[in-house]
Amino acid sequence: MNNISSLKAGLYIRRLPALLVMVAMLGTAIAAYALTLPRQGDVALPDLEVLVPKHFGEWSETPSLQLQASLATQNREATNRDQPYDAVLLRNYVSRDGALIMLAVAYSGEQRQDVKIHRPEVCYPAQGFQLLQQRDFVLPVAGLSAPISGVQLLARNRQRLEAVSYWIRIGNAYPHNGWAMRAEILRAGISGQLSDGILVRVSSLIDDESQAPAAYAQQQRFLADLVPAVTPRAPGLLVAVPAG
Amino acid sequence: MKPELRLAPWALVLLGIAVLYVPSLVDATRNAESADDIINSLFVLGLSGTFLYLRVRSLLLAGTFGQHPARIGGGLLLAIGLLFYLLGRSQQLPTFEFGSVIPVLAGIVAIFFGFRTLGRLWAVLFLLLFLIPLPPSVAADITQPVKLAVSAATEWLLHGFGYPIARDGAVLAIGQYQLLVADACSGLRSLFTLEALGLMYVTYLGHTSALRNTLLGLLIIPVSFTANTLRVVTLTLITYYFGDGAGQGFLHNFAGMTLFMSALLLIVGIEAGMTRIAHWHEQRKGTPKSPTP
Repeated sequence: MNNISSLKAGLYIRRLPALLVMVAMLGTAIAAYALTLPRQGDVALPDLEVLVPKHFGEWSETPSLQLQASLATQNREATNRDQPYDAVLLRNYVSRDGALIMLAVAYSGEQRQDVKIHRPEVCYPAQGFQLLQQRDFVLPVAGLSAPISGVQLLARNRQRLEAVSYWIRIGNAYPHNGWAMRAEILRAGISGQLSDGILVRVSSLIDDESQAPAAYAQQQRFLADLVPAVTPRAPGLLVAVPAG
Repeated sequence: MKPELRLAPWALVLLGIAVLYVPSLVDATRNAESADDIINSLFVLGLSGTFLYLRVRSLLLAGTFGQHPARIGGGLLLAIGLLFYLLGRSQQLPTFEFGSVIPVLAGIVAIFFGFRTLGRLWAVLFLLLFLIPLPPSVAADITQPVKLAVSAATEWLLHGFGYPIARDGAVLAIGQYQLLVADACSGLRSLFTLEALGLMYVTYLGHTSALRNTLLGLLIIPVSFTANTLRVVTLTLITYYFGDGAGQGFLHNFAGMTLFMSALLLIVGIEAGMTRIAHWHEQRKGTPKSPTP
């Protein structure tokens, strides 16, 4: 008896179950293809340069003296994942009494699990910053149905100490960590929506940690002035649109 | 009498697997962060294939490759796998998309050959675990500290040799040059590949001592860390002496491969050493045991 063919016979499988298995796999592949949201083509992107006014409230733009922390984790070999933004605005503002605030806004037309906004608590440490403090804040703004909810960070590197306040809006949610972000994108994805996303980040340089509370308070005033200045021109850009 | 092996049903099954995972692999290749990722994944894939072949062959030879179809249980396993695939593929969750390969293949084996045979193939499926990409947030949690540790070790070593080196996070400055220690340099991928290789190696050698296998599996971690530190040191020195371009080009990949191979040799060496110690120990105890092949 031929040894090889008897060995191979051990691998014998029946035709009908094999066909059923194949049909199940083919069906799954087709369903997955049908359920995948198509990448958006050319969507009109917000012109942040125009939509965010250079003067509002007691604030006006000032030439940049300080280099801001980059918005992504890596600066070399920018890939889709490392530069997930469609529009970026970096600006410095000065108040009437001379306080300086750095504003960074990054918009992305579509948020996906693989290409999404970078959270500052990830990209600051990647640039050599050490996070000394992290806590949540809530900013009620007149005219908004829900208060903005964001995160405050205190970050230090060799050259400076930075107080940072930011929020990330994905669709109509303000996720506070990476998992919440993923969950929100997944929730939208399963219901067949593709959410846009924006990072609104302000930061101030301070000399020591005791100045942090004052810096945060000033940032809250800045943001409370910024939102009403932008929202009439672009509702639902910086903040969630009121439901209904 | 056993029925003849027919190829048509297998062609159907393989076609199904290809329809699911070839597009995934193509997309993953297109989106890969670095060539290293692709090479490592292909390596593990080839390894799994070879291992599957060897394992099935030896089971067939031993007559323990059963034909006890578990249509319902296997079907259930397959369905779970397909559900994972559906979610992962449509929502861009690679962990689910590629993770599904294990229940899908396990389900197929169970459907045609039963759970006992599946149990005898567990090591092959376990090997496939190393192909599954970690969720980025988890990967970042592991990668970040390792990256910083690799950078710190590099700074410490080169500083000890009197080089003008300074470090800020994962950014190394040597002489006039600045290097960013990238995620890839933490060696998470190559660690996975090494672990997969080590696992296959110990299974292949047929060691039954769980202690020795676990020990070897754990030792791969410091070996991989050392190899990656040496790689970053090498690249830093190449940049220092030959400039930025040299450090990023061919030599970058060359350093990666060389150190991967040296880590591999080191592991094989450690394993051989452990075998020798075990023999010596057994001889001293006077327990006559047949040596491992």
